[in-house]
Amino acid sequence: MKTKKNFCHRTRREFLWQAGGGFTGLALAGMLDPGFLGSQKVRADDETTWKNPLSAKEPHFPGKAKSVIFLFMYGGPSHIDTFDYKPTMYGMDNKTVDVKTFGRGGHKKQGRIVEPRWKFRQYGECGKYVSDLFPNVGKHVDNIAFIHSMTADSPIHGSAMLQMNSGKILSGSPCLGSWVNYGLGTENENLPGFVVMLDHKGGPISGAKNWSSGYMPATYQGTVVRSQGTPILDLKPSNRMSDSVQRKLLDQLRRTNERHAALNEGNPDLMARIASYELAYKMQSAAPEAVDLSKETKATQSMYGLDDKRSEYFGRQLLMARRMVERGVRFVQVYSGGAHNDSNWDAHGDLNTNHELHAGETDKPIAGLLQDLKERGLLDETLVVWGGEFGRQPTAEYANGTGRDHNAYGFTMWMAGGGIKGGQSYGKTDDLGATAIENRTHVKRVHATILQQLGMDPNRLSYFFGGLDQRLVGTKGAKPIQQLIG
Amino acid sequence: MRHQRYSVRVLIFAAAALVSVCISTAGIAQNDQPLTANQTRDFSKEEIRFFNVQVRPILAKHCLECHGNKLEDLGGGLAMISHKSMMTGGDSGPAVDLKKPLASVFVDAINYGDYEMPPSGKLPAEQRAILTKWIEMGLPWDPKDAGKVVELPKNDVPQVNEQSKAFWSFQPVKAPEVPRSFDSTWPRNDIDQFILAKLKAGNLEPAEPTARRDLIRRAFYDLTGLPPTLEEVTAFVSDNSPDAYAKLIDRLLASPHYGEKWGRHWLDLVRYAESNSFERDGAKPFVWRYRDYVIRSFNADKPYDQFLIEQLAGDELPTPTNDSIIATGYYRLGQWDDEPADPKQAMYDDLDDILATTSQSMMGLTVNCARCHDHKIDPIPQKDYYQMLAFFRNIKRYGVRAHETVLDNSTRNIEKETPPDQAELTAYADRLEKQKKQIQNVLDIVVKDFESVEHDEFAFPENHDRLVRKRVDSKVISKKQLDSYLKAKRSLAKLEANPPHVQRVLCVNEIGSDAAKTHILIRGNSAVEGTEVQPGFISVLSPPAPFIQPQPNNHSTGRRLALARWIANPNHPLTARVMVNRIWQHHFGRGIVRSPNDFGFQGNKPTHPKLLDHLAAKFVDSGWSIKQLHRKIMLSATYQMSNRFDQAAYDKDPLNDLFWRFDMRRLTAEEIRDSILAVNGRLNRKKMFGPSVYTQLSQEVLAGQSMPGAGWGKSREVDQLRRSIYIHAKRSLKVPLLANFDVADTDATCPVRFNTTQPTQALGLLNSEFSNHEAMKLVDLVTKQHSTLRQRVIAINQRVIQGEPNSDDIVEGLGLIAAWQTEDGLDENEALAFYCLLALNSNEFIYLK
Repeated sequence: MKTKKNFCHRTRREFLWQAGGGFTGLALAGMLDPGFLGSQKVRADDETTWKNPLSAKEPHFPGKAKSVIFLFMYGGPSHIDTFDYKPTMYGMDNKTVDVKTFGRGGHKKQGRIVEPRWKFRQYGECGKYVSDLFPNVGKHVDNIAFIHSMTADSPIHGSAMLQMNSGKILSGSPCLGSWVNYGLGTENENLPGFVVMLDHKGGPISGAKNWSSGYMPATYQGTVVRSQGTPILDLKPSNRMSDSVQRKLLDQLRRTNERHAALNEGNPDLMARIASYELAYKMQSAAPEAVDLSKETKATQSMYGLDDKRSEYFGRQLLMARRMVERGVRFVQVYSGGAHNDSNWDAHGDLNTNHELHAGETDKPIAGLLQDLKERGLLDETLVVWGGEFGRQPTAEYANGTGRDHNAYGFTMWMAGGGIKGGQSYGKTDDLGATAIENRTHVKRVHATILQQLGMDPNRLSYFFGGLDQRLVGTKGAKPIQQLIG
Repeated sequence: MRHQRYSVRVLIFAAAALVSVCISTAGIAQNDQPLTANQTRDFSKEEIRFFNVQVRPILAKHCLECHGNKLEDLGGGLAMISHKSMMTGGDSGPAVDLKKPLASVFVDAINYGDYEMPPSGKLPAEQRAILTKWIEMGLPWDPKDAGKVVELPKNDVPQVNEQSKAFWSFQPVKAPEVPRSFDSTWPRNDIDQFILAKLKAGNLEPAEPTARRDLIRRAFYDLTGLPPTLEEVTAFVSDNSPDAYAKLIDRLLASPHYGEKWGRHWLDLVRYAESNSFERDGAKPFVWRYRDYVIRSFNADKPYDQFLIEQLAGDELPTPTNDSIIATGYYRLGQWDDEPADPKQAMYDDLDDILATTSQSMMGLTVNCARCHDHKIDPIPQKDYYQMLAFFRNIKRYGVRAHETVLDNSTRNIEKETPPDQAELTAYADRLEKQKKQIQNVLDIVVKDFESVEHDEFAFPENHDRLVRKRVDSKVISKKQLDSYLKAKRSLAKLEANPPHVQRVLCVNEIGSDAAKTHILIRGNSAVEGTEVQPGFISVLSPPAPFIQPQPNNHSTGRRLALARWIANPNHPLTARVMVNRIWQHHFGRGIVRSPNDFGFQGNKPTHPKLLDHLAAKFVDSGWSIKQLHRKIMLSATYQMSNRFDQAAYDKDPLNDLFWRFDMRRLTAEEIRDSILAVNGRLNRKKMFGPSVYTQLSQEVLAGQSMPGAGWGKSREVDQLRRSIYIHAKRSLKVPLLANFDVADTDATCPVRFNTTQPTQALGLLNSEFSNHEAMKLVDLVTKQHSTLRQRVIAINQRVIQGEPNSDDIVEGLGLIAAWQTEDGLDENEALAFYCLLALNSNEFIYLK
């Protein structure tokens, strides 16, 4: 595709207005494909085949990754207790230090150190230090690139979640998964292109805002997929509607609709709607198959921790995630942590109990996922991202206890697969992990890196809305982190 | 300042480290002037050596990527390639202050003050010391770089000048002459003359009039959002009187459901929602009064200028009415972060949200694009943005944190217009008395048990509850007595908050009569204030100076009224054009200007500029009557055309720019839901207005919330069957059926809804509990009314399509029902229910001709 870097994509923009003005949402969705309107012009008759807005599109350049699995550690895991090793902090427990922090408790200049609660040991050829919370993930450090110098604009869950998912601290913008599907489409039309799986303890705060398509059409919003019961809302027909009953209904619906279309020539939307029913029908069988884990061997299941009560739920979701990316789903986001307080990584009270719980639920499944992807040769084309909306402070939130407040001045995320060079650590926080001091990396740059690995130029992928060419990385743009790329 | 610093860090990061995509040409100018012209003084060899050896490597490594000689990478407009370029500076002024070196922006930035540079991390202390010394030395530089600057393209954005002022939409509306065609009988009114003139020029013919059944269906949906009944269709089809159609239009315009349909269009524009978004997504108190105000205003055909003035400044009118106060709820509809990381920036975000909504929805201008810099495409300088912002600057923020602060900042008690009668007052007094007595009874017991200090404590009412609770443990009073005491207190508080003569409303409130100063914010950053500005209108529209009258009550500045009167002025070039275009849009599926929120340079040109101006002029002449405009449009032959396809016309004009036929449209999300309930006879049309209702949502949908079910109540079934406009609009929780069919997103003004076709729509309409349940209800209805299967099948079709079904559909339908029974073991009722489901999924139902 040829999109000029120039600000003014006149034709494309006109295109959009026309789409919004009642032409059809399909044209809108096809805007990355300049051939689309052309083909409609020539063939906008009753025989034009329907073009699914999610059908695969050409990337800007060949991408290393085809899919993303984003492991969202909701609540904000403590980086200095997981992957950001701070050896000098040991022995400093309860010492009062001068340190600038900003969390839900406001701005502070001083605090009581809570030294990291877990031991770190070295793993892999790179010798990366990982805490005892993640002994299994530790085994994969040679495939992982850690970013220790993350910063975000807000240390408050609501706005920080929105930023990690949509780039903005205000609501109303499309999420990363929406952008990916808008830019690339899906490789399997029978499955949603942007899948979200929630923790068994509940959804994240702000609920559906975290997988909203914002100002883009609903076509690009995330679909919540469940690991138990019917995977997708309204996927299962009502009780008495067997496949045979439904097939008859759909066949008759098609006949009726085709008769209607013949009387109303020159309305491609009518044919589009007929086609969408066939796609819906296929989804009804494709989606349950995609999440059916009975076809997986015992060994695979156990690799994901399905035989351990603690990790079973998350493990099941990650195994589903692998099956989905295998089937062409572009973006899968899995939440570790839900609801409020200690039901997620938000360890304000007892750090030990909280992080033992959430790391315990996720360590084995994540290691299993990485291992499984490697064994199947999928890791090269699957980008795995790990992180929360922010990290946690080195100091205690209260006079007593080990709870840590939020920290957006510095925290850790990591990526593996999808063309990322493993065994490296990028950026640094200070000795306490309070603030990123070297190669400070804003959330937008992680977004930019993800888009780039998928074959999209983050500064070109834009969507015209509200008078502006909007971008996931903002109108001012962001550079991918080149050092992470192998 | 502590709070603000945080965002500075972030914004500057974004501004500096990144590619500036908005700028398209680059160039370095080499200046040949003598040294001294470009440097404050000649530097000594030692100074130059210090620069080259100590300073230059640091600059090269940490600064030049974003502050070098490449225009497209230039951060904050600052180049650091010569003494001159540093002194010229960027968006924030000169980088160095030679008189007060330590106060330089540069020194502040490397020490991570208001700015934080380099963004990748603070430099080591020794490097900072070198740079500081360098600044203190007077910014010595190698003479070979003297005079280097990066020339910023100053004139690449449209300027406010005679040429840009001449742009069509910035010119006053002048009613054009109506073209006259003498060789056609097609035109019914002026609209058709304009349309026909362009069709003829394009060598095209208008389509023939549409069938009567399609016409009445079109009219019903366009004016009320509801289908006609079969009886209404039959009566209309057989009524041959010449004014049958005109009478129908008048009847529909007088329907109370008209406001529910057209109010919805307005609510999309003002991004109406009933909660705040973010973590708590709290409900907005009394917001529904604004929704009711909008519906009532449309129903009353309130003059559009008055409608705008009331929303913008209803509280500042010489004689405000209850309606005009409620109208200012307009300012309270947006998202609100009750826990912002940077409160000052958040305040400006709120104001930006109001400014963007106002400028786009009322004037069709994207003034919001000039927040960080001059508008890139329209002749709207950044200064205009802040001048417009100044009108809103004194508005109290929606709230501070807790819900009580929202009540303080954003609500008022106003006297009811119809005072309560005596009986109501007496009943109210009795209820008050009863609660007080109940409270007193318990207090009397408790008081007897007091120690002496407690008598003192009792003087403060806030201590009462604690003193009462204490007596449960010591068994002076029972748990039951405590509960009744607490309950009575709650009831009393509620009664006192809702006396019969006043009502609580959501509305605008200002801080006082003197507004805080408004400054241009450099790059939109709230921490970096530039020049102070006064309230002022958009300069390219050659406006008068605002006439701001001090308010007699000192509650507000009078600024908003000045803005409102300007926007609603008959001579405003955009206001009437923008609104008539919207009315046209919702009748024809697209505006005469296809970008209804953007009449600027990047918007679409009108396909029929003269028609637009004709309608705008008539609109103002009619006293801004929206209903007269509907009437005029709907009585035109243009509106009554069929959707017949014509290959030759299509080849010439595939997008139907010239209106050679009527474009079909899909029903909106609300129309689909309301129609399903209308055809099975269950829609509760009677109940209008009041607090919103909660429809039943499945557990699966609620499970997406962090507290499943939070903020989503349970309404009685009769309320759940009300029209969709009355469903609680919660930002973080959408009703799936409505969301699937492209209901407006509520975080920004929505001028045109999407029109997507996607499999989730099919899944929802086929498999959802709602569809299946309502299909069954349709079976119940036709079973009661008709005795044979054939009659029932016909009746189902008639109800769903409001017309006579195709005979093939009936034959095939009966066959299908039989096959379901014989081959799939369904009983007749089940088969009929699935048949209803089929009908409700048909394109004939979902699309409007």
